[in-house]
Amino acid sequence: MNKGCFIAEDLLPLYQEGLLQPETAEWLEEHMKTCNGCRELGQLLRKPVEKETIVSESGPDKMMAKINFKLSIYQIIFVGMSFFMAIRTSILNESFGFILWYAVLGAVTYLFYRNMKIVAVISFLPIFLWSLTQSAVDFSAGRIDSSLSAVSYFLSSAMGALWVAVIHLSFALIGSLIGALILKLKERG
Amino acid sequence: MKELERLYKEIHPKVYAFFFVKTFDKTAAEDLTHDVFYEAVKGLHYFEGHSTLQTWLFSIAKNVLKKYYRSKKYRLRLEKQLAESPSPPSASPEEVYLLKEGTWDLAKRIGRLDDLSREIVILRVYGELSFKEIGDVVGQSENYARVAFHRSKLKLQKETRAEDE
Repeated sequence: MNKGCFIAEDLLPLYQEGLLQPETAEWLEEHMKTCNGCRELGQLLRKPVEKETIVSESGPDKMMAKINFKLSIYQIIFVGMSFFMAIRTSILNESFGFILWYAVLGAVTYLFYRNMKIVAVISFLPIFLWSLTQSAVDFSAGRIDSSLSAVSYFLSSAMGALWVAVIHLSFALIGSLIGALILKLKERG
Repeated sequence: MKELERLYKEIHPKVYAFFFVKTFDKTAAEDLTHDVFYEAVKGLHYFEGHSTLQTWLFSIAKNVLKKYYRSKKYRLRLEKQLAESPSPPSASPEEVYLLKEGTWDLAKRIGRLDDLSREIVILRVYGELSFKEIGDVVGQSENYARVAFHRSKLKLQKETRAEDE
């Protein structure tokens, strides 16, 4: 084995992939014509690796269905929790302390999804929708001062719902920040 | 979403093969593959498109495998296997047959390579990743993956030839 053989051996992987410059490839081919050892190496490299076929029994469809099912169950649980809390809030109008549970909700959903956007949607929408329906129910029951027109009433109640939802959302976001901190601490051990 | 599911379907057998060659255990490979795709579907917002989807999935796979090796489940499985030895692990009939017939020669010989080469060869042969993707997963350059793969392949081919003769 002379120096040319070592060079040839190093070049073979690149030759195999067609990455050599034409001149270098020419030299290598020339070399392999004269050198038995390198020619054999070249032939060995050209042979594909014969691997066993490995097939999963359950297959991707079943698995994906299972995963999607599992994730939607979790989603339903979180949204349900959020709605439940929205209803509780409107019933316990005076007890301000209940809003702290939104921080818990925010932390839990953040720990699960690790995504602030999803936390925001899950905590914001239920309470917003619930406050809107509450005002609509009040209006249709005729409990509202008739001096207000329907349009201005709905505008103001929408603003009110938005305001309430934003306050609750901010607590949920504080909760998710705590969740993010917990994750950070856990990462550091 | 459809596009994503098609890609997942395409990559699924490769991830499964990767785990099977690493664990030689059908149930474990199924479970771990499920874990990878579960993480992927749940945490899709983490995928930023710096690499291919395949690379991303395989780096999740690497982490899932690491977690599995540290888990109690793995220890229990090992203990069970040791207690049951000499019979081969996870013995469904065709697997016993395959193991007896020595069809897993290649996978076993790959197992005897050094850590990094083994990783590269498994990702290439069973994961069917490009050298660029392999480089990203193992934290080396594309060319490193290419040359290391070809060297290991040569070594494996030489061994096969020596055994055949």
